[in-house]
Amino acid sequence: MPATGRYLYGLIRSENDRDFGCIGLTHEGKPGRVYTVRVGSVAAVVSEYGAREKVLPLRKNLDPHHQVIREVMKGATIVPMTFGHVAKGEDEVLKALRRNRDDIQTELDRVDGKVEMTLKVKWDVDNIFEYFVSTDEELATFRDQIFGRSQAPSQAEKIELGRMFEERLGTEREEQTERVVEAFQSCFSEFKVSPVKNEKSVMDVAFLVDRERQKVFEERVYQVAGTFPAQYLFDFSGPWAPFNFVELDLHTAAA
Amino acid sequence: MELASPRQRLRPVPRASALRSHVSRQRRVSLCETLDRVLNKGAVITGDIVISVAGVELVYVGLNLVVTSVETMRNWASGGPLSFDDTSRAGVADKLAASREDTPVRAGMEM
Repeated sequence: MPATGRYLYGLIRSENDRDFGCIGLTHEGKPGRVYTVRVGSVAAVVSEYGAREKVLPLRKNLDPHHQVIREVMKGATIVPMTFGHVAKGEDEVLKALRRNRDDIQTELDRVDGKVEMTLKVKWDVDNIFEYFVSTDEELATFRDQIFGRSQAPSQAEKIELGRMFEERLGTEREEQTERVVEAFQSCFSEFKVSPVKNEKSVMDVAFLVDRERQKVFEERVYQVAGTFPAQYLFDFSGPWAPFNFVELDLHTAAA
Repeated sequence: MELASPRQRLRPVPRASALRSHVSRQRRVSLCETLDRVLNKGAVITGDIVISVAGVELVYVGLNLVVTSVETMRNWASGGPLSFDDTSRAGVADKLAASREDTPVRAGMEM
């Protein structure tokens, strides 16, 4: 008989066994029933899955993973697992919970009653270089100097201009991020700055916010955005499970 | 990046509709944002006895690649250039790298 594994979605605190319905990853042709495997008040949210089956990062697998986390989040604080964890069976899940119980408790306490809100700020301009040159005299002067002559600028000069631009971009990002985090000080318990993914991004910050203070946070976004010039576009999303704040590495082997 | 001549230098002109910095709240969160979390963040389990982390290795190649991989693999699944039996990591990564697109993929995930 082939062993049935358990796919893991996340960890919650619960005094009772819970059933979240058939919203899990597909197992044997139908959506898996999502329920808890519990040790005391620490529970893993799981569904049946082939123990030897591969979990490829496909939409059909990623969607239910995320949907389950969001469903569980409605009524509990969940420490989400990274996509793709399959235990060989329920016993193995129990073993992992027992072995890491203290760490899990600590992590659940830290994020208890909190959600993650993400704030992304962008420079909403057509040409980011042009925007910086127009606001930075030193950059403008140097640009005019090397491009204003009859002969074309040398490679070294272009590199120097590029370097200056990069440096300004970095400094500006740091300063604005500091300013924003400062402005949100009263709204979060922790924050995390992620590296920006493109040139026009000013910042990408995740905040750990009390579930009840979510509205306060949202209002604050509008207030803070109002203190910035029109070139700054604020984009926020959430509530998310505290993905950015989980630092849990569970061990399965005895230490 | 194209450099404009000094004469073309523009002062930032606030658009009439946006004298103040604006806030947008996307109801449809991009697939990218979800993927970034689901694949790169969250609790992990290490140890080779109990848990296997399957397929996730792909994410280390980069998020863009995975976005592509999801789309590409869907095509492959319907008789494309790669069958699921030969999804060895290197093979997939190479093929994905070659087929990489910068087109943003949006999911219809309502927040």
